[in-house]
Amino acid sequence: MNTLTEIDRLLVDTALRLCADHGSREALEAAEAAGWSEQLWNALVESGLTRVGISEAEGGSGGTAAQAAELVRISGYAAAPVPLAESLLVGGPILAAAGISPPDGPLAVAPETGRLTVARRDGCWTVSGRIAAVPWARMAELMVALASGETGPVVVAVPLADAGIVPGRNYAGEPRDTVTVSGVVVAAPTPAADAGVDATTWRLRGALARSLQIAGALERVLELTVRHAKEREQFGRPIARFQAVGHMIALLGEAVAQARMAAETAAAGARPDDAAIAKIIAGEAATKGAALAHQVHGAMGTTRECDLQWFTRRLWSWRDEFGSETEWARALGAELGRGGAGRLWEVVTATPEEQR
Amino acid sequence: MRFPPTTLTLPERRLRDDVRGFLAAELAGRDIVGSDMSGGRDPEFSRRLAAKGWVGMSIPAEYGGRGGTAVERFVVVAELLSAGAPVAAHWVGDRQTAPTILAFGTEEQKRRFLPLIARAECTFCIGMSEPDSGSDLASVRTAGVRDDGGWRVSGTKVWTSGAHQQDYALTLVRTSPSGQDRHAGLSQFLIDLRGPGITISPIISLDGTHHFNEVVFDDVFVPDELVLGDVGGGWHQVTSELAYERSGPDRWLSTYGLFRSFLDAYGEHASDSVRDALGRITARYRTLHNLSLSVARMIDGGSAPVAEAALVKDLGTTFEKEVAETVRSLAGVAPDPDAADRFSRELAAATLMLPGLTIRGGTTEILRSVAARELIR
Repeated sequence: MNTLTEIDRLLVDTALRLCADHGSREALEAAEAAGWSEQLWNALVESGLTRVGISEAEGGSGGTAAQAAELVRISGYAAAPVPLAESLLVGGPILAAAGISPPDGPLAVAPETGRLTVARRDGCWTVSGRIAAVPWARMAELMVALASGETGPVVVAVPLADAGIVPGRNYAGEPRDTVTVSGVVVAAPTPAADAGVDATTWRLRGALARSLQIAGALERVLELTVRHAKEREQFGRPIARFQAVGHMIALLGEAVAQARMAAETAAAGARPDDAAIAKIIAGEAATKGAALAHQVHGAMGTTRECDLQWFTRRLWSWRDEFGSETEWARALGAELGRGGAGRLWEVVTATPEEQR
Repeated sequence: MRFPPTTLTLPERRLRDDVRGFLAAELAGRDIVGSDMSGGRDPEFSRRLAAKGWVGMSIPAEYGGRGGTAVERFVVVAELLSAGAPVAAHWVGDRQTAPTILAFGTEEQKRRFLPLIARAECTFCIGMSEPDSGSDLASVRTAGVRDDGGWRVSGTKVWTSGAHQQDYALTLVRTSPSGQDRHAGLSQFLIDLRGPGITISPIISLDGTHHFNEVVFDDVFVPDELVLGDVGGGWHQVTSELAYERSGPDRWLSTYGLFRSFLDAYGEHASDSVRDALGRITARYRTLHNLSLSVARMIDGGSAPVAEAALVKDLGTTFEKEVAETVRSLAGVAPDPDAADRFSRELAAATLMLPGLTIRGGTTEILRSVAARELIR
């Protein structure tokens, strides 16, 4: 994890280059108007980057979960207007585990579990229900959801061609649509246990994905803020030379360091605690980091003309998606309340691969 | 600035489990309040810990240590502090004097002091700050004048933790006048605190305890064999010493004892706000643990993560204070240093200690300036 292998480096460089190729101001504005960047998505598909971390036997491009996590972090760094996080870390691996090949097109993931009900009628399976704020639903062929089956939770891939979709969006204009299905025919669902998920781990996968995106975006926010502070002159010198500004940059650096450490720790291991912790830390860091960066940017930062906004509007959105800090903190706090001091120190010091 | 995530190897995890087991037996039945590095002093405990090989771990075997790593020391120290172990006797020697002697000392000094530190039989304190020199350390005025076979030292040091109990003070002394380069002309002396010409007076802390001292040196003779490193090279030595002083578990665990007793008292049947606080604070502990561990691993890798250490110390020490204020506002008890109730006692002890946490070893303002310089570079 400390040193990137040559393959890691190649993946990272390819992803950064593709995002940069499609990341001009005009391209980002067009993507926001359209809801996404189809061109960037197609370029990522062609390079095999939308299926990293899923084995070739399961219909993926091979590679490791750690590489998939690094790509998701980079997508945050680039404010990439594509559903890479959902495909690489949530929908793709869950579909693969359920024995379903992920499609080429973007994949939507139901953020809430148990909102859909699967029934068997006339020899086929149908699904009904309504879910709000589904990322990227209007451009996806399939939505992966954890639904209520007749004998327990099931993983189901819902074709969205037959769904009712009401567009919605987050602060950054990323599609967050309401999906309604009524008796839509689906392929045989997979029991959740067979796909290795339950309602909590489903949400935790999304929480980890958003934490990595936040860590990436915060890193970019720090770069933009340092550059601005060195270039902007007031009172005859760059504002970076004022101690008050320097200290804000130090605090921003602290937010970046914490978010990245928490997200990478969660990505490196399989401890559910660590994914919840990542979302708590990343959420807090997003709030603090965005506020500090805007304060340093001054009035310029409050407009759509300044590049900072591509990142801060995403930070403010992502901190609440797949569970806010408060939601995860209460869950972790309840567990600690039951486990007591012994459990507390175990959570603090565990190495990521140590299971409970 | 980058903090590579790292994990403990199997031998490092075994070490952690061994220390945990040792402490469970050692500390059973003791009434421990707090988890601060200066909380309790028990030289007998320090010697038993040393007998296990867990004091002065980084000292090479030829000087009586075990040639351990910064990560191994991190593991041991995190266990000691989180359990509230009485570490004050061996703390400074273990954390910074031994590495400084190892880096800059003569062969004779290494043979004389390092085995004693590794056995916790010789204890140290830090002679840096003076009445007029706090954050601006280069302005120290304690002066050394050349004499036959050594130096004569006069001046005053303050905030000297445990000077009334420890054996030596590693003291920063001006040995030639401050010229254009304020950092030149400083030297480090190992001064025997029980020798003639030394007056030690208590400086009483907010909580009424005697921890700090004023140490006055009046024409104290320091022989050449107790000059550490190069005459005039003190600034370089002292800044590397400060790097050891920063970013370790002592910078984020000072109020852990309070948090643990809050969890014990309020964890079960917790309200939503208590659960929220428990979750957020635990997430911060976990992340600080990993950042601090990452710095230790970088040190073992041969780099000098000075700015990274400053950033972690700022994060850690401001967090230690937040922990205390958060649990205070949730608990709503009237703290009493003498209360029978454990949480009330912990809260009283912690509250009176809080102001010092973001001052000792480098203030918030100094640390942020060090981190900013690196980030803006």
